[in-house]
Amino acid sequence: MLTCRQITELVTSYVEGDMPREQRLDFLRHMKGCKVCFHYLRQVRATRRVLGQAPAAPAPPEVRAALLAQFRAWKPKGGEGGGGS
Amino acid sequence: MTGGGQPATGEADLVRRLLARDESAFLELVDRYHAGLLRLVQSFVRTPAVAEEVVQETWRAFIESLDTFEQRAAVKTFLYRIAANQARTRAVRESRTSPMSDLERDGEDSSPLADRFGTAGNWLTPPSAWAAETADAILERKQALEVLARAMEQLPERQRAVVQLRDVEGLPAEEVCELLGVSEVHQRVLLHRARTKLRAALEGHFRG
Repeated sequence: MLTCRQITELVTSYVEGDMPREQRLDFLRHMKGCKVCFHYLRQVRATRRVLGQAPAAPAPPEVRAALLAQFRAWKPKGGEGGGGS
Repeated sequence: MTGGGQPATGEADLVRRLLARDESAFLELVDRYHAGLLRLVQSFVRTPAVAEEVVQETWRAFIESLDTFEQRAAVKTFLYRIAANQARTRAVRESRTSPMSDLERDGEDSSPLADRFGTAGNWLTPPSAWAAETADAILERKQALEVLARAMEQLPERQRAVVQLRDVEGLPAEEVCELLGVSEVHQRVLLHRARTKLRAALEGHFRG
């Protein structure tokens, strides 16, 4: 029988979906009877989802400007692409 | 979660715009990937200034290879591979070789849950209830997102790189192992530690 502490240590393995079958069954058995660990699992999952959906901060203006200058200086080898300067 | 290997829909169009020297397409990419590239590179090199330099070189190399870019891999994967290679070269030059294989450098690691259990491994202090418990609800709370961003900055650099690439960028585990030069087991440990701390940061925030 897994303890609550063990559950929190195994939670990433469970979420990643590659737990050995036996362990997975033990994990699920514990979850079924332990609301607290189930709550913990939900919070871990929510945290992970938030990380994937939170809007990225745009790059700092000076970085954008410097990189844009590099992009403008790019001369495509193929010919075409850009007629100016 | 979409895999990192395959080009995403709409990406062919983005590449077409880049080749037509569309500046807004380029800035779109910069905004989308600059922070992630920086975090990847920071896990290899010593100072933030060097990391910035390496990321700039990465963008330069990316721009220069646009002509010959064959869309077999996603732009994201392509960019991250360039960055990892450049960062590794730079780290060698700085004589900090294969930094990611060095377990001690993963930082102090007291788990934020260390004192939450009794001797039998049962919860003494269970996870507290959050005012927002679903991802959608949390995403609406600016302060919570700020707390999470700050917690991210405080992670040891390798944990930060792994959680950035896996959870923020959505790259598959194998890809992240390859980029960082770590084993699957090590990747898992780093990811676990990072997620545990980030969840704890949100808990701290909601507990007030």
